[in-house]
Amino acid sequence: MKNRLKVLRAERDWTQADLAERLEVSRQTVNALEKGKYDPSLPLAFKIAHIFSAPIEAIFIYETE
Amino acid sequence: MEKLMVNLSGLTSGSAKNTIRFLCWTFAWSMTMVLADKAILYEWHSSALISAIAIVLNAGIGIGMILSYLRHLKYMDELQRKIQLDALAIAMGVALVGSFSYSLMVTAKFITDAEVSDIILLMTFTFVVSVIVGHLRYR
Repeated sequence: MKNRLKVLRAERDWTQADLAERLEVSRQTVNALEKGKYDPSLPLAFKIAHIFSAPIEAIFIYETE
Repeated sequence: MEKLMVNLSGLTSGSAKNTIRFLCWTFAWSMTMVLADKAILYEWHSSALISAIAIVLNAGIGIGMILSYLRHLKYMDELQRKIQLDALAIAMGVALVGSFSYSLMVTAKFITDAEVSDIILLMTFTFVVSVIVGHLRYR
């Protein structure tokens, strides 16, 4: 699954640590999400969508293999 | 719910505090285990009652360590929890397979002085390595 986290974060001029603090997760988790190494749980995906004021499907792009 | 703050190391402060608490419990459990073991082995205790108290104390601290680990897990974020649970699954699998192989080696007399602690050491080593590999994978 791809995501636009890095772009959205950059638009707001936030560091990974800033976003991590807002999401109440570690910076490692934000980094893993941005790199597509880890897909978030549904509650975390909703939280991300809420923080960026965007629908989930505008942030996460599901890809079939 | 306690608010989790992110510190410079990337760990939440709640998680870091619980990690230290868990390590303290683990250290206390290990020390009481070694003391109880040596005391029984070298007959430091004057009576069986003191040995029994040492064993109960060790088991009690062991329960504290388990509860501390559960609390430690609770305050982790979902990726950190996944790394821990993956490591636990690998460690448990290795311990299961390893203990049966070990048992077969004892039956075949390849090993003469079998110790349960060998399996515990294998399990601990596997768990620690798996946690490190997990953190490197999601770095």
